[in-house]
Amino acid sequence: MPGGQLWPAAGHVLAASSYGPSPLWYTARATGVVALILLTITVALGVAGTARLSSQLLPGVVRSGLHRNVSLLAVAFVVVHVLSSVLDPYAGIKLISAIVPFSSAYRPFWLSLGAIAFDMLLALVLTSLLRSRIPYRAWSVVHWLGYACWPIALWHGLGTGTDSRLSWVLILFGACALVVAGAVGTRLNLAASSLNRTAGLAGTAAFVVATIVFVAVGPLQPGWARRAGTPASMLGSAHPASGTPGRTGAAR
Amino acid sequence: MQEHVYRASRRRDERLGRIRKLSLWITGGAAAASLGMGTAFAHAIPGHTVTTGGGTPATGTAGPAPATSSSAASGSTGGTTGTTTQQGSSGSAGRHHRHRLAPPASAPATPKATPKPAPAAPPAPVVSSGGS
Repeated sequence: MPGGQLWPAAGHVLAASSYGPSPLWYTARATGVVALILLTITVALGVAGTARLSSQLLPGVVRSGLHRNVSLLAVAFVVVHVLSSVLDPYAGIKLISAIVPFSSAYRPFWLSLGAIAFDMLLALVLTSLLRSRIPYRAWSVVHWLGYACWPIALWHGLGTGTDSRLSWVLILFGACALVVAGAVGTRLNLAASSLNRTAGLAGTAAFVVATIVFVAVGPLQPGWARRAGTPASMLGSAHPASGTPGRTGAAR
Repeated sequence: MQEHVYRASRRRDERLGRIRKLSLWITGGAAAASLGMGTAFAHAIPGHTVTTGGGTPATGTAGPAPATSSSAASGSTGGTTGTTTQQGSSGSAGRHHRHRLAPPASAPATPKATPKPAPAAPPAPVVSSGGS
């Protein structure tokens, strides 16, 4: 983006901060979505590496290097996402809650999914950085966590992300899910056992259906904030206990 | 032999350069996307679009602000009330609204009925002759 367009955009954010919630609040959401996109690219590049897909434009060495760099970039964005969430006083999230699951009062289950995904990501990166010093088998087992990390991160975004009602966010998540589903399908085709292939495809299809149903009956419905575990004191004082959506955004 | 090593070295450097270039592009794109999404959230999520709260700061009760169409469409937890004092964690939520304009505590003073005297005719302009 040219600098002439970048600075007005930054001005918009700063101007918004003068009236609305803290800029950290927006930063947390934006970096979370971008981190999920980067994780999607990482998964796709990783599967492409396993499938030995290469082209003139993207030789194996380049693809492998990109896989490493994009995953590190995703971790950097996740760190910014965590720090901005912790520093933003709105939800009162503590730093320990970003690492230890079920230690937060704010939407405990959905926030814990993010903590679990973060822990998995840290394990993935650390074992990859120490790959030459640990057995290949151990590295491989931990690396398989990557396939579990992505859907957990997606559900964390859908459940905790208060922006999951925005249509363009849903479209973005759907596009990421399509890319990952395609990558997983490609990976399953490489599996030697047809039983594993069938089980994997069935699991992927079940996950996609479960996610669609969850979005339809969860975040898209009124009163999701209360059902997700937002503390009553944050739901607005209109009818915090009755579950009636208040007029604040938190009650939706 | 030397030629072969030289060619391999050049190819390696070229590929490392391509990794670096693509990584920089992705990093820049991610940063720009992050900024753009932050801006989009700032416009789409309530709290930004509602700039005048309907709360009553003097009593400390939560006065809901009129929700805009965009705030109704999104599922944000961003506060839209003009509340300034809340309990518990929502007390920190009130910090989000510290820039919000609060309604005046008292009604504005009524203007006096006595009309103001007509302003005097403006003084004649002083013509300077440049100090002479």
